[in-house]
Amino acid sequence: MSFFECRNLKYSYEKKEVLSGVTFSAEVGELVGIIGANGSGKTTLMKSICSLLKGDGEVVLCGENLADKSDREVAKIISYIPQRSGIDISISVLDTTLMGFNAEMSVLSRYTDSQRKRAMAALEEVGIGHLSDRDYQSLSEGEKQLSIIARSFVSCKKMLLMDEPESSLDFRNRNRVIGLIKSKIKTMGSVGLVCLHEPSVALQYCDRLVLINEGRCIAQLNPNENKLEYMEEKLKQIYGNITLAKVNSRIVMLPDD
Amino acid sequence: MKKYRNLVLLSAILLLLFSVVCVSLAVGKFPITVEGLISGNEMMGRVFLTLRLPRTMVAVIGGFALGIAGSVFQTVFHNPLAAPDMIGVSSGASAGAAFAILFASGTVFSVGLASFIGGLAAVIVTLLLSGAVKNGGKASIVLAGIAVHSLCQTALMFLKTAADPERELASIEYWIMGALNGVSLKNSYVNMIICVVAVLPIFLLSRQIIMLSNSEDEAKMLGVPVNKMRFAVLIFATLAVTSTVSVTGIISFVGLLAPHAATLMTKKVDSFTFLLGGLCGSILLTVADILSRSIASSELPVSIFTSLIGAPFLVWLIWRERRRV
Repeated sequence: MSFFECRNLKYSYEKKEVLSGVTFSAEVGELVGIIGANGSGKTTLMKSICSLLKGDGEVVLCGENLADKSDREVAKIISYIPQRSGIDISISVLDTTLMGFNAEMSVLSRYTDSQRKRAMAALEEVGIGHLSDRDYQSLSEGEKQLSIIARSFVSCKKMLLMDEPESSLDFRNRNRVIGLIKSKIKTMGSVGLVCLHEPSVALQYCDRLVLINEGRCIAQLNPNENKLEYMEEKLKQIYGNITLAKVNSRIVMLPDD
Repeated sequence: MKKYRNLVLLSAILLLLFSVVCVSLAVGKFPITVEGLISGNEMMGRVFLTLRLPRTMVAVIGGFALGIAGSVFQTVFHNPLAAPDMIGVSSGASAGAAFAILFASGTVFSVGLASFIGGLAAVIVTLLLSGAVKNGGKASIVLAGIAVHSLCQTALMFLKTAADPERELASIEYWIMGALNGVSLKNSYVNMIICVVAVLPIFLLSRQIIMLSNSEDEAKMLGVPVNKMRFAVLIFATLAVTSTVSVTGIISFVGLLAPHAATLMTKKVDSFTFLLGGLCGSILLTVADILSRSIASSELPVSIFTSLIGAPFLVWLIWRERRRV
């Protein structure tokens, strides 16, 4: 049995089926990229995996079926990074990061000094330690996203679920942060599922890609093992006329004229 | 440095509150002096203990409750202009008070009890209605609140139509405008105990309330039992507000103003800001009450003064939000 398994996952909004039996698995330390066109069901898949949406099928993490767990128990083992955080009050960046400890704390307890130090270390790790005392609302969208990523680093979870975490980041930060997430998953001994907007980034950093089209998993790619032609053929089913090319040993996706 | 800054800020606010409380205890139709109290002036002592002290205590505790409840509503509903009436507290209390004025002799006790029950019932109906909506989040609470608010307003209009214009209608209108002149130790101590008991859990849960400022999905994935927590804190905040307004009548703007004043001072929201918001509410209501009983020959409704300060502040707040956008 794999570290993480998603078996025949289905979900419908009203009567429209938006996830139609998605099945894939991942091993510990792997970063799996979920890619697909807009509206293909990527976010629904992420939310179904972490039980935010209750559909049919099974999600098994570390041999345990997540359907048997309470919301709080799920929060203890899965970190979720949304596309954009909903925080809309003035709050310090450090306090935002400290929220990552909540699932393992009792409702009434306060943050400890040790937690504050760990939160500071996570902020330093993503490169915004100097902003710890700033108002979260005064940050740029990219800096906000970095602080939310730091929040998911503060406690060791078995799974990191990330919904386009790179969408607000500039080129330099995007590559640095995805690389950091990849190494963090390995050191924490967890598994990472990441929806990525940019297939070239997914091809560069992910160990495996799950291609979603109209709610179905149409292929699973392994950029380190699969041939370029095979991956190109599968990606064409989502993105139309594209070409995959190797530049400096990295695979990039280019649109055809 | 941050702790030191908070300590200075807290000391300054407490000093200001202490000064305002001293003025409130002294000022009124029957002036009270320290010398008079020490010399054992019986009349002065009686006025102090039975009227002035309870009235000031209600202004301080009630203002604190309105301020901290405002923080809860604004955070939970992700709306800087959110107020207790969003879920029907004030309109329910007003309808309850009008009912007591018309049908239950209109004594201070009956009006207080009926408005307390009215406010609490309105909120419970709002929360039950929103709970009946499948996957209903905070939007369903707001919608249910609007429905309950409209129903209570309709009931209030009906009661006003049935009221005797000379006595009962005037009493209803005066109650809605809010005043602390009916406060005595006898009719307020139970409410103030409820108020303190309701405010304490809000403090204890302040970290969870701040977690609710995340989107619902985020908060759930951070381990917050979103629906239960929201229900609990709204009930505590409602208890605090209702136990205050059932003694004072409707007090406008304190719940809106005080949290923003605190956030302007601290520049960020944390449990300390909640405390500061409560203290700002205490100062605001006590100052408004002092003005209401000292500016004219007869007592004026306290909401006149809270609104006089609140309305320009609200305009400034909207202007600031628009500039931010």
